[in-house]
Amino acid sequence: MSRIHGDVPYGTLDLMILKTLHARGPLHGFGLAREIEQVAENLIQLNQGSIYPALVRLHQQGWIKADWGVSDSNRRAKFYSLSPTGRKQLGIEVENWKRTSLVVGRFLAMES
Amino acid sequence: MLRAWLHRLASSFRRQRIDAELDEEIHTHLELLAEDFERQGMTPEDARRAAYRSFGGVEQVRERHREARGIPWLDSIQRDVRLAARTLAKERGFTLTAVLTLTIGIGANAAMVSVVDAVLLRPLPYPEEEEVVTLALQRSGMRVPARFSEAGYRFFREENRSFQELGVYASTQRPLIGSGEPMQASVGLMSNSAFAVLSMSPVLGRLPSDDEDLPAGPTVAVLSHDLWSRRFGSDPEVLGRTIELNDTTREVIGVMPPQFGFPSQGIDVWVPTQLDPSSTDVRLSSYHLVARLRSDATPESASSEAGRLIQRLPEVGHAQGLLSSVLSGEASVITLKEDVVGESRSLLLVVMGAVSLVLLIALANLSTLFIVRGEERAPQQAVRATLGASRTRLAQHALSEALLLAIAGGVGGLLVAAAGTRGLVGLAPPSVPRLDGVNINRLVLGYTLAVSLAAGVVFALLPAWRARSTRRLLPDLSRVGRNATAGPGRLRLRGALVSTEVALAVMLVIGSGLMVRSYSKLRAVDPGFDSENVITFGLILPATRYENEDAAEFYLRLVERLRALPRVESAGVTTGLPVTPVQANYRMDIEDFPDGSDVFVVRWVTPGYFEAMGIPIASGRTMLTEDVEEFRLFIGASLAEQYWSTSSAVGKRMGPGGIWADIVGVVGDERIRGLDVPVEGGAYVPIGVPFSPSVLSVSVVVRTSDAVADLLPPLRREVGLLDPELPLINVRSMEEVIANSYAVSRTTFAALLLVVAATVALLLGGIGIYGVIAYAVSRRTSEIGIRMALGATAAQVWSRVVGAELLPVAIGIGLGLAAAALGSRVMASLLFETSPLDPATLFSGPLAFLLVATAAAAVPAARALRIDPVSALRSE
Repeated sequence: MSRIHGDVPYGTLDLMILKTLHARGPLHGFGLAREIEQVAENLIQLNQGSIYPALVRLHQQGWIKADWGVSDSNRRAKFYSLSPTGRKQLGIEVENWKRTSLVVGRFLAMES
Repeated sequence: MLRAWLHRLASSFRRQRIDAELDEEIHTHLELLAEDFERQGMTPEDARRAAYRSFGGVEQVRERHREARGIPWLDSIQRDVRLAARTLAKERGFTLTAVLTLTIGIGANAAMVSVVDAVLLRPLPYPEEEEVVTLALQRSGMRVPARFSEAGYRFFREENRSFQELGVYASTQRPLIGSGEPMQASVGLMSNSAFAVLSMSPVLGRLPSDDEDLPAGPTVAVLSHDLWSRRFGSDPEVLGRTIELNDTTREVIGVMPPQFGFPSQGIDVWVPTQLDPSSTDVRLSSYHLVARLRSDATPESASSEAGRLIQRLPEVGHAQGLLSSVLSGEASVITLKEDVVGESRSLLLVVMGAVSLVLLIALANLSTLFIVRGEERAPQQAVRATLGASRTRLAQHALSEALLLAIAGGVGGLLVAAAGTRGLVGLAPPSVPRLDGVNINRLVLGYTLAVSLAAGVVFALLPAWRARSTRRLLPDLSRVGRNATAGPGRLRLRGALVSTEVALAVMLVIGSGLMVRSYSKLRAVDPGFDSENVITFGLILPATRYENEDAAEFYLRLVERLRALPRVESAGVTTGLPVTPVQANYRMDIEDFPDGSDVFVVRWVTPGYFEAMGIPIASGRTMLTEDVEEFRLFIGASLAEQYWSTSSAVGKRMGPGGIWADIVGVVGDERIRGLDVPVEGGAYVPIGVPFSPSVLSVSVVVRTSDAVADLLPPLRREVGLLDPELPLINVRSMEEVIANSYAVSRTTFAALLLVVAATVALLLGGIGIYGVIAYAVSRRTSEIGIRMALGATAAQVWSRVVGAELLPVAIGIGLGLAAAALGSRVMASLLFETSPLDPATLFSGPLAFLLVATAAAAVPAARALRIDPVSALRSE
């Protein structure tokens, strides 16, 4: 798992990328970064460049695919999309995340 | 998981493309970001800056991308290797020295390993070859094969408890006629039991049957693979054809495989001994034993049994005199491989030892070089360590540099070895067996790899060991100015290396000195003939056109014509040249000694042979033309001495099987079998007398008044006038015959290689000493400057700076002398009339090295004395 993500909560960037690709379909790096920023609004501070190391890791796991294509503004760009295994992985990650937040929530609800 | 690793592995090797792709992505990303900001109303310049800000550090992204996608250690190795290659390319002098030194050292060794493997290590081709043994006698440090009579052989066969099977063999030269020109064939005589001992089947046909090995049995022959392909064109129909061997017609019944070379490679044909199994003949023959050990016997147990059996030989009628002369000495059963390889073993091991020493010197030299380089770099390393480079990182870098050099040296070494094996095989004396198997095989490759890697690791570790703790690294920061004096620890390691190097070089110089001395002693041996201005060539008269009787007349006419040529002093013909190990032996009875029948070398010669060879007549007279009419004998002086030491041999009678011939002349002994083989008596019979074997294949010897370069055309013309179709074979000077003879070629080979090795060692040693002292002087420039400013004399500076560095040289010379005195014993068998402790050589070896060392030290020492105190101090 990634070690440093600036202000992005530890271990969540991968999930954000997978979910964004799932919801929006194929995107290039800039598009992906912008989508994440828009969804997160100003709640987190994302160094846009940090998605690239995350993308290469997800690609190595076989969860996303990368293909060269042409962007809206007619530029050559690499488009990332979710692979079938990535779709499955997203389900697992979402389950993990829900369980983690449930557990953390319970701890936070503990009364002193 | 595996998939991810494959990706990583792949991306490690495609990094340039992946980097380019990433750069393109980042570039696009930044452009798009900037456009976005511009749409929000920023100026292009502000937008670009804002884009970079919001993207984060481009370089960090790149680095983390690499980390994420690759295999860190593989990447770091790649990086190390690339960095190492770049550093080495910059230090061209250092790199070239290191690679060349390794190339020569490893190459010479790999070549010798391949020769040693083929000649010494590989087993003989016979099944269970380690059981096959032969019987030798150890007599005053020499090993001679035991010779037996027929009765003695029978006794051994019946009485021994050590051998599964025991046979006899002998080898000789006989003229061979059939299918092509007559030739002098090397013949192996083998009992069927000897064939059984070796247990090798022919590739074609069969081995002799039991009948064929009985007296008066069918006469058969088994061909060597080489003779079969050379003379019969590898014709499978050769079986059943006949050859004439020494006037006996023999049927070809088989062809042996190419690797069958018994008793030596180069035997052309094998024939059965046809010994009478119940023979009581106790006359000495030239038969040797070959046997296969029982599984419960060892060479040691068999040796002691053989010794007891030899003592019992009088039981079958052997005269005691025989035991005290021919069969004296300690019986020793040795493996056949030891017997075959025996003489060459010490030669090859000494040469192998010499090249190993050269390699060790080269390694010691390079180690010094690496240490000095490491010291020069210490401040730089310290800076790197302080800036956070881990010790592992620094060590990795050093290791990759050293390994890169070592591998380059190894590859170069293999190339040198490939060429070197060919050179060695070409240069090696003809007597070294099994050279045809020399090749670069897995053993040689493995050896090269092992030496290269070991060298690389040592080179890397030595400087690293010096810098083995960061604690020791840090103080080095204070020496960034590189002018401090080296600590005692440094000096000690470097001094030890210099001493080692010097000791090894001194050993080599002494070794080569001993060989050179042997060589000159061997060349000083009187061969018994005068080789100067003598030319020799071979002639083979075709049996289709010549009878044995015609041959004599032909030779006499040829000799007469040759003698009439201008500047030709004399000429003669012989069936066998001297200094040749394989000679034709014949048995002769001696009239004065009814039991004294003996086997010795007999040669058929024309009148003029003694004169042409410059062999003096000791008593009686020389050979005259009329001697060809009647069977008369000429014998060598030592044969005459052996039987008629008190009276004159002239007028006595000897001869084969009751046919008596008068001895009319006693001539000086020739070194028949070689310069190092003790003088033995031989006999000469005039060509043309009755009872001679085939003399169709001979050597002609011609003595000229001075060194004649263009004698060949008139010689050819004269031969052509007698027979236009007769070629001159193997035209050589007698000097060449001696140079190619066994002992001379072996000693020349060893002396040559050792001198080359010693020269390289001297050079490397000189370079090493020069390097060490030059480095010491350059490091201590300011110290010397201070000393001289404070009034030190030149002599004091010399002894302080140079003297300190020369101490290890002196220690090395002492060690080398001691090691040579202990180690030169292994050379004893190669030396000829030279003691391994030859005082002159032991003295002059170190002296030669001292001269080189002084010369090597003088240059940097002179530089030290020229140092100007003012400028030395200013250079701070």
